[in-house]
Amino acid sequence: MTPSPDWQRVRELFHAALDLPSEARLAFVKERADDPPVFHEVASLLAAYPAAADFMSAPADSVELAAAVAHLRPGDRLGAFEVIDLIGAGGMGEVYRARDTRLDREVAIKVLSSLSGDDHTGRDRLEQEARAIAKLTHPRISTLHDVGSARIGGVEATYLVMELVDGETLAARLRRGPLPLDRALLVAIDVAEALVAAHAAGIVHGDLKPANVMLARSGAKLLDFGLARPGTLAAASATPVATSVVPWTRASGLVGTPAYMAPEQLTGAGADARSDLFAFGAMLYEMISGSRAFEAGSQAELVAAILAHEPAPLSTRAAAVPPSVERLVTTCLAKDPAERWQTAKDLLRELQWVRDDRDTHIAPSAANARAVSRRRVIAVAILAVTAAIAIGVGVAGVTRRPVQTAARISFPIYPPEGSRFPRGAVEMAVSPDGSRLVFTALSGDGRRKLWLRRFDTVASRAIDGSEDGTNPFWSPDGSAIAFFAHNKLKRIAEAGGVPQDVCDVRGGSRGGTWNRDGTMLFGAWGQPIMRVADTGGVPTPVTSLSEATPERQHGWPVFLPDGRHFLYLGQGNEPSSTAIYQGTLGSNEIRRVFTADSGVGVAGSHLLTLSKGLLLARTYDADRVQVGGAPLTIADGIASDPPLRSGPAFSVSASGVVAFRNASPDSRLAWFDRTGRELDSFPARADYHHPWLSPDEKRVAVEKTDSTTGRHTLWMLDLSRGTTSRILRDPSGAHQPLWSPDGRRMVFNSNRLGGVDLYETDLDSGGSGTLVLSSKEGELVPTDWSLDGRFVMYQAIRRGQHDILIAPMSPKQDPQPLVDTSAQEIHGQFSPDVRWIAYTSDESGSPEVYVRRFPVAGGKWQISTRGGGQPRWRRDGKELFYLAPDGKLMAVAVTAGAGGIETSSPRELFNTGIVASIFQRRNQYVVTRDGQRFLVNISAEDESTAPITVVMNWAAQRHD
Amino acid sequence: MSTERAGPATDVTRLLLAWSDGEEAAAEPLMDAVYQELRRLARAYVLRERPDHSLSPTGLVHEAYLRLVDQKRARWQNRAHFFAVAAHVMRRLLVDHARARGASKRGSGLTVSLDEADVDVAAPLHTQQPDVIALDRALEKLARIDARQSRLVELRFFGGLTVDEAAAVLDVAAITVKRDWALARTWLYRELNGSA
Repeated sequence: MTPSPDWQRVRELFHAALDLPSEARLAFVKERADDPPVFHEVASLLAAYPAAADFMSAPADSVELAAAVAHLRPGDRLGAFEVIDLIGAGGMGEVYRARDTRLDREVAIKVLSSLSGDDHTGRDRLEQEARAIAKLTHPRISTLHDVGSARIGGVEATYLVMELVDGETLAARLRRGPLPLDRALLVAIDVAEALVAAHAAGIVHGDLKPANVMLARSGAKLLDFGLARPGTLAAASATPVATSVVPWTRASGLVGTPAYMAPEQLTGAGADARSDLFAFGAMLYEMISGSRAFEAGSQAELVAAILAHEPAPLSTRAAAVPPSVERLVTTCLAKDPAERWQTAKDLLRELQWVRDDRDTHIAPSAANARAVSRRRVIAVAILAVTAAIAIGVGVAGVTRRPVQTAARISFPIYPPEGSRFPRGAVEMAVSPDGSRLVFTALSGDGRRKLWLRRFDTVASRAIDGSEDGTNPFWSPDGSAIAFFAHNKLKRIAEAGGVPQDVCDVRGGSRGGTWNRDGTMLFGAWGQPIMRVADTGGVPTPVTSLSEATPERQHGWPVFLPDGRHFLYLGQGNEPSSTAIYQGTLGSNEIRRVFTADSGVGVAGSHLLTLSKGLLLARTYDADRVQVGGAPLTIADGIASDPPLRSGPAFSVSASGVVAFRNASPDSRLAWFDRTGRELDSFPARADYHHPWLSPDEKRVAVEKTDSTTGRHTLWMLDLSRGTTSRILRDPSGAHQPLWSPDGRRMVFNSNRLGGVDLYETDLDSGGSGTLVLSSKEGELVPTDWSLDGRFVMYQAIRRGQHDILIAPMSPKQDPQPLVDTSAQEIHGQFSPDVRWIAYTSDESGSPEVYVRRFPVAGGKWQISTRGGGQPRWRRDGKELFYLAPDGKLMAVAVTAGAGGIETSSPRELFNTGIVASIFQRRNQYVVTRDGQRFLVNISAEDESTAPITVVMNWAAQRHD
Repeated sequence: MSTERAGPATDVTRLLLAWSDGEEAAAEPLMDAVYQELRRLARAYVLRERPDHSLSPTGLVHEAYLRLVDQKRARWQNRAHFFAVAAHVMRRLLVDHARARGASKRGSGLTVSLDEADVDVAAPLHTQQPDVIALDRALEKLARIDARQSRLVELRFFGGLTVDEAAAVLDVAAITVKRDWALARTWLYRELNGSA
């Protein structure tokens, strides 16, 4: 519908008039207007124009929107309560103003956002705890009237009915600047009185901050009480110890500002009522100075500041601060709880003394009223009582229970300058007291080293003496770190130094744990769990590999808090027989806990498991060997290695700090020329492994991880079209493909039968492969198929030993080992004329590339000089390539003669950028026949710096 | 990130395309779907399930577009239509709520306080934020005089679109939008505050 001609005219005149100076407008319009109605309309609009300038200058308020989409509408009923309107919302839930129809008074109702209706135990506990809080009737504490549950938004939700307080939060008030000193003292006294009352009832607040202090007409009121079970008063002191208080919050991504949290709350190392006093001090500091006691640019820096830095003295931040006030605040902010005011009562008395000393001549309540009435604010304050689910930390030996606060505190740790994390899972261990993390990182030359990061700093430092260390774990007192290196279990002081050998460890280590009695347990390839004294000795088994199942190995042991029971991962040949078991020192009793595919972590009475990238926590009862019901999701998207690595990809401390790494596993297949210039890259990125070029160099067979199932299968990449397609019909795992020389068949391995066996498939007819060789005692990795088609070379991994074997294919005969040594041999490659074999061996102490005659006769020639692996021949046999440990691609000219071979010294071609261990992969590159181009599998970890994430208070999480 | 699976995205895209092509019957279900999605998104923001965003109609509308409409199938005209729909839905959301609050005969447009991280609680009330119900009525009146201006106000105030975005949706030049906006705003102000 087009506007009327009149309106069009009005429009034209209006805009034309606006182009003129304001005093000329009216005259202009009068002259141009066609008739009086048009003139009047334009005139009136012009008159309104100046005032309208700000009108709707901002889009619709988000605040109204929040109210519009809240679960409850005005007029809705919750039992006897009628909703009036939404007055607050946030991570905790929604708060409404409502009317109690029975008592005819207004209340605040908070509907908790974690609407997990199925958790009856959680709700019951909540109600039980609410009763404790409800008993707190004190003029300085907002009263909790009731707890109820109702069907809201389609789920059974819990709501809290609370006293409605009119006023402004201290947080809002502080945004306008500091309080005058006398006013600050009065508010402080009110809050201290509230704390005295709460602590006397055995209740710790746990989340004291300006947003939880209400400045009402009658004085300050404390809100948002963490609901806590009345703790048993410690015998000697009057300091109440709260059982763990876990406010009910939404876990995913909620990041809190721990600006008022006490150090012991951050590390979870036994917080109590004195933690409230720390927060009180931080608040008072801010009230007086107008700036926060602890402030930093990032979460990590904030945590470090609270743990290690002293705030600037109050007197430097505000004028005329008497020494007595300064001293009062400083005492509150002592890092060690034993150095603070020991009770709220002491603090209150000190405050009153200071106030009296200042001779204010004003009675507290009147002063408050005057101050508040001068600023009668329209805004109605938020009333939010955080609900709590106490996580029972009732395991023997733990007397201090953590007081948790509202939001998740987490921060990243990046690889130290000049080093990188290994691909996939990073080995790391959080110290038992939750204050430090040790982790492995690879230096520029590809060597592993242990690094230490204290959470009260933002820099990590290398632990000297820990070279080549893996799978670190802490001593219970946090003074030493044990790790595995050079086939030994070693220990080293946290500060570094010369490591002490504890014992020999054959083969690959699979984690360790250490109890207070000086006993270490560890796992290793093909072995049961072994125990050894931490001062050194000969290890003895504490579990035995079952013949019945049968079991291949035990690993990743973790002591339970009692230091006697322990959990470990027992791996059988069937995937279903891999499970977590519980053992006991001094007893043969082994009990099965549940099926799992990787090791677990223990934090107090909680068990942490990782499954498909999801880190879950469940309660665990060691006596009944029973895992609790509803799991708590701590994080997702966690990097973990393919099924062959079963160590836990995270670490957790007893105190409630957990570390893990979210990493995108995608890798990139890129072509390089001999100078290292990148030519091209395969368009699709995915988690690729072990690419193998087809004989005609038109396609690449590759192992790819399915991002949803985590399973590895074989795919064919068409290089010219950039497409990918499946090779096998069987969806079960398949790894490490190899082409036959005629390009028609493929050999690979698969664990579909439980072991890691060799299979062969015909590419033309498809299918899922037929078994070629079964791994009776080891895992088989195919590494090469000779060009004459007669032999397949593979690695057998048995009890930690890597050996190369050669299997004649036509006719099929028994495989023969390449050499019989106690060293590890891997990466076997036939020369094109099948007269030589290049391979990697560590018999010299570190891995180097060697060449031997084939069939084996005589000695070997060493090709690499400073370490090397993954050799590959050029098609004419005149050049050998290999990877140096630092990722450089090396080339060696080869001249073969009757007497043997001659090789040039290795020449560096270019740096592939690979820093992941070249000895743990079969192959990370392939080379074209002419030796001119290299296809390199560059994993995301080689390129990226995905950090370790540390979550300080994972227990303060709850997920639906 | 986005995989081709049947779900809200395909439905809304289909409805949007149909409605853009003139199929009137698609209007109702389309509005409905957008209404649900905006509510859901807004609630997610409010309850801080999305810590990297803060609640704003603009953000919501844009995010709803990304979530609900299959970018590969929608043409730019469809995008414009979507924003028009979203803005209209947003208006309905807010007006419906205001009416409900009014109907309960209590409450009085008190300021809602959101958790500190989202909104500065101490910020003064937008004294120039209009009463949504009155604005709605006035907009309907304006629509009878100048449909495009009414749609513009809806887009800019309820949808949070910028001048350029609104121009794209209405298919006019930005300068036209600026002028229309100046006039519409003046007209509405006058309407809401009594004739000058």
